[in-house]
Amino acid sequence: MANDKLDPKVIGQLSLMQSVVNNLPDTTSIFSFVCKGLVDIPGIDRILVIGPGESVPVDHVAQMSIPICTADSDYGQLSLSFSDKTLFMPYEPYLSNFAFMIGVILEQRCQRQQIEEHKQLLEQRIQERTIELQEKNAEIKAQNEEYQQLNEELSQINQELYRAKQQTEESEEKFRLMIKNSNDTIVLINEKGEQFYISDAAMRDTGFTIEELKGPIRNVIYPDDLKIVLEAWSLVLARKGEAIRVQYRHKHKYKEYIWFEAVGQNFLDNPAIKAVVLNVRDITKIKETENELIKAKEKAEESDRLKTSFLQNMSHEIRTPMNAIMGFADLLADNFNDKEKLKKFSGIISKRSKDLLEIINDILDIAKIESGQLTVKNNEFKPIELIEELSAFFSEYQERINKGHILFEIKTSSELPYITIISDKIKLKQILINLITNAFKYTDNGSITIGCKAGPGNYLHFYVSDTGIGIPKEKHKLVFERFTQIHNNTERNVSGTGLGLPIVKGLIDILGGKISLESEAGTGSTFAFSIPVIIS
Amino acid sequence: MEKEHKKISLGFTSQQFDAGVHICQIFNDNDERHNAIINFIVSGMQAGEKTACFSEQESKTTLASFFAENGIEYNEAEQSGDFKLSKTAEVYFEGGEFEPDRMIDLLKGFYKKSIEQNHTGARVIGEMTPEVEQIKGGSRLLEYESKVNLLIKTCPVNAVCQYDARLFNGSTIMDILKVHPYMIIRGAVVRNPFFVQPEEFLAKNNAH
Repeated sequence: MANDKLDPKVIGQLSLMQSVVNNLPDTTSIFSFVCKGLVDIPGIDRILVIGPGESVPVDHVAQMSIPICTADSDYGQLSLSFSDKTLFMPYEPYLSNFAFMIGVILEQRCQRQQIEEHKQLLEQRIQERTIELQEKNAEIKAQNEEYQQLNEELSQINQELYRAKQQTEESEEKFRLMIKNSNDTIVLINEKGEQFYISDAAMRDTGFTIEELKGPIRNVIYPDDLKIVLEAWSLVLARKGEAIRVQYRHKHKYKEYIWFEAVGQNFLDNPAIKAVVLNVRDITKIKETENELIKAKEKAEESDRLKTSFLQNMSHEIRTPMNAIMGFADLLADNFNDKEKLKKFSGIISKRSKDLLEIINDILDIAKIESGQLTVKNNEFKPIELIEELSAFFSEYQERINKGHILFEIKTSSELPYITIISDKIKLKQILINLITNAFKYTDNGSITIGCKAGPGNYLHFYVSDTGIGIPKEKHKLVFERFTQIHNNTERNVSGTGLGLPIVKGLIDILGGKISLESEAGTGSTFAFSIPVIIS
Repeated sequence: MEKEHKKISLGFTSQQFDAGVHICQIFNDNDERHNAIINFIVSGMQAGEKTACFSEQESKTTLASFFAENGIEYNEAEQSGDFKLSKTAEVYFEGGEFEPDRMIDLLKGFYKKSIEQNHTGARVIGEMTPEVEQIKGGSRLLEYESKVNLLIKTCPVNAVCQYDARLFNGSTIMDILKVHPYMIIRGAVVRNPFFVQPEEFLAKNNAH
């Protein structure tokens, strides 16, 4: 086909129609526009648009059909009849292309329409959804306002609760501090008898931990006191609100039992407490003071009794020689001419006077010791010399009291003759004389031994041992007490003020020494003492 | 009066035309219609032409704002006779009848007045309404359009005829194309291959 046969105007018309078609609103308009425009193409007699499925009108002889379609859509066909087909044929490809373009335009339009419908549908949905969301938003907003109001109310309630809690905490803190700082232990016990609260003061008083204290009370209460404690507990349970008081001994973790006074009150029915409240106070010191007072009282009474006894004894001891002295003094006048009697009587008077003097000396000594008037008067001497003096004195004394059969021994250490000491020789001698005299007094047979040795250290050790009647162990403490006589002098037919051993102890105390006693009834006695000295 | 061969801008593209153009715009949305009016009128007034717009839809307010954007004071232009806005029906269907010769005389008078008033030219844009198909003399629409082509040879008025494709059927649109030498396609003015010279068209029309 030669292009020179084509009329450019027709090609231009086809081109322009494509542009105008875009502006036409619908298929009908397009097809009427197209048909009217195409009929001017050379050789065409008549042109119709036949829709899909439509049949060609009977008055139309279709000589050519050109489809108006795309790959996906069919919009019908251009049905052509010719006045001169030869003239038309050069335009056939252009018309086919034009028909295809019309199909494309229609398809695009259809797609746009669908898109528009979808868009409208979407817009409608968006609108509906927007309305729905607005309604929901309004609901949510209303709910939010409601929640906000509730929130504010809750916040207010919370603030009130917080304030109440703070007040409660402050109150509890005050209560806790009061309990903590209280000297008394506070114990709360429930209706089952369980101690569910014990304040810290209990640890201070007992040494036990709180958990240890929460165990059974029989583990910590002194067995003898358990009964009164249980009785008090029964009273507490029975007498609601009444304060029940009980004193008992409670175990201490590291010491002896301690004394507690507990005041219990039953508040089990009080809803704020629901407990038996125990106020427990350590009264150990009070009890000790009480005991000391009792002991002091007893001691005072005993002392009074002893003084009375002592005075009676002294009276007797003084009266006896005094009677003898007075009696024999009277006899002296009656027997003035009888020399023998005079000699005998004056001897008795002299002896009894010495006895009396001894008693008075003893009384004076103990009085001086008691009043602290005795002072130490040190001098230098050899202890062996003191021993030798005593030996000489008691050899004579032994004979004088008719106890020459008793073996009187002196045992000294080998170094003693070479030792010189500085001490109060007079007091030391008085101590030894008292002890040895005492030994002779209560020894009828056997032996009396005195010993002396030096050291260790700057000490001089003495002992006086006898095979006499001995002293029962339970009376060992009493022998050094003033105004006490262990043995009945009447039975023993011995005289004495009972001041010998107290004087001995008093003198040893003054010299800074210590005395001990080993003895049992019937086995003799050994008094041993040590005094600090300067040994040279 | 001989046709002057003065070059003018129609306001659509930078393309220059000899004065005395008759253009058809087939539009299918109001923006397209409105833009054509603004471009055509504003370029004409800027060129010193006497202008007129026949439209049922354009308002003074809308046009005034567009005029202002382009440095033209609407009231001033209206009072000086540089521009006039009229309703389509008032112009085309005066007396309830469409009379092509009256319209041709009106255009001729408009052009003469532009010359008298020392305008550089005259331009008119008018939107035809489908009412024309119902009104007395409406069937002579194509005759009128064809006679405009004769008129502009002696009175080179520049005219744009607007047709709403949504309101006229396809066949009518094709008929309208045949009486306009130029078309506005996608904002550009193009020659119309369907155009039939007025002498031929009117002769054929009279034969029928």
